[in-house]
Amino acid sequence: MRSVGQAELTYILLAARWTVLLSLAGLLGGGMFGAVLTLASIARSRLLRRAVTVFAQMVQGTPLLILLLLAYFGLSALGLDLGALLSSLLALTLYGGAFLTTIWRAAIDAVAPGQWEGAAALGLKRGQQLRLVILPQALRIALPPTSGFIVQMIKNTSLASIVGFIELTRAGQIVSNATFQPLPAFAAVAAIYFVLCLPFTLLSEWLEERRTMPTNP
Amino acid sequence: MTNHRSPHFWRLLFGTLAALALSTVGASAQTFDAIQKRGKLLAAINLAAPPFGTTDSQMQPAGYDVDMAKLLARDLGVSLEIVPVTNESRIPALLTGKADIVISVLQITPERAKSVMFTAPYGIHQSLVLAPAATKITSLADLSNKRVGVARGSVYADILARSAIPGIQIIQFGDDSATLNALVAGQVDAIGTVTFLANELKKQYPDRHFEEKVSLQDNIYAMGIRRGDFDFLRWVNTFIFVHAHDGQIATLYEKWMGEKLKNLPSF
Repeated sequence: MRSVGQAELTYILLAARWTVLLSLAGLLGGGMFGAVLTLASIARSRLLRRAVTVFAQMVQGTPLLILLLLAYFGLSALGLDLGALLSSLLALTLYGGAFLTTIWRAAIDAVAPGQWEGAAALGLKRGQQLRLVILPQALRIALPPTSGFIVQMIKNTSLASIVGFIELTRAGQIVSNATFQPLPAFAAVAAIYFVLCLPFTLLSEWLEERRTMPTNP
Repeated sequence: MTNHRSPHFWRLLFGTLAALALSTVGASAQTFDAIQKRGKLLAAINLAAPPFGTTDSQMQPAGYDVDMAKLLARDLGVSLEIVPVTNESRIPALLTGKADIVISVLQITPERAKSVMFTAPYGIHQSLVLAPAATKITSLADLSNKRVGVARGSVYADILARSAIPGIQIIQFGDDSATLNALVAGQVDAIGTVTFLANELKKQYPDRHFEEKVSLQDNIYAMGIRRGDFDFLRWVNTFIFVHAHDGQIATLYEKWMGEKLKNLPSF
């Protein structure tokens, strides 16, 4: 009977590359898409604002697993074969964008309306109001929940095993099934997730503390 | 020869981008010709399903299904790429062209035959119910009101669900390791498994006195091919016929299952 040894632990450790790559892809894709959606959500056009709300609610109401399956198998069935990496990137971008836009929109809404009015009274145009007055304050509000969401995102990349990635969780399953020792296998997996998520958890906490400074003077 | 996806990190990254550029080409080509042209066989295998798909001590793909795939690729004269799948994504991977063939203990059922074409069987084994010696189970009916663990999407899940035992609680786990360990932890009263895994478990926990209780019906499995791919089906069936005859299939089966291969039925 084999046990979880160096070869198995190395395998798990190397599989973490996929977890990191998928997380980065999801963060970059989701972040950029979320930023575009957030801008659209504060646009003058009512139709655009409504479209963002409907989109965010639809994606948030769909499990990431289903998004991944649709992007990988669904698009393939329609003749668009994106491959595992691109379809995961697509699914994570939609998923990240939908959640981040809600977080960021809420952060912008949390800035007192007086700030918009004050900026307008100074003669700033709408774009300048947003860039110079609102966003710096909204950013501070948005950072803690954003880094909290990043932690969620890192852990959710485990779902990409359904489209063929042998990432951290799947590697743990494979080792567990080769050795029949789930405890050491998944303990190693959990430890790596912890190390990956820890910086963001700490950042989130640190930012939370810093937030006690007045945001609405 | 085996080209396992995960270690070839960058190749897949760039391969994916290249595949995107080529995605409109060759979608309708017959699989048999497409494999020859590509020089590579894409075989969908679940690598967390010992002893069929698993990994060796160097963490390279291994197992009965993996060896069959290697033999298949060798006879086709192409290299092998294993498309790692889970039990759930075996058939979707085939149907959407991510793989040419499923070689992953795919049990032959009329239901599945609606979506894939089965080749001739390449394996047959008896499933059984394993439980601690002290648990009284002498027939399937004794599983009534018992918690029975099975791996999700596995044959035991199918067989037990179809046997319609009153009050049976079939608990589906993600894989075999989870199922086995659920029995060890006492989370279930019995599990559906195969001789190989039962022996592994008895070896690992001699003091727990696990024993085979009831034999379930034979589990016969085949490779799965896309519907309408008759050229490829004919070739794979010829391959299975030849190696059933020359004993190579029996040799591989014994190596992994630790028991003699029964006569393979055919259809």
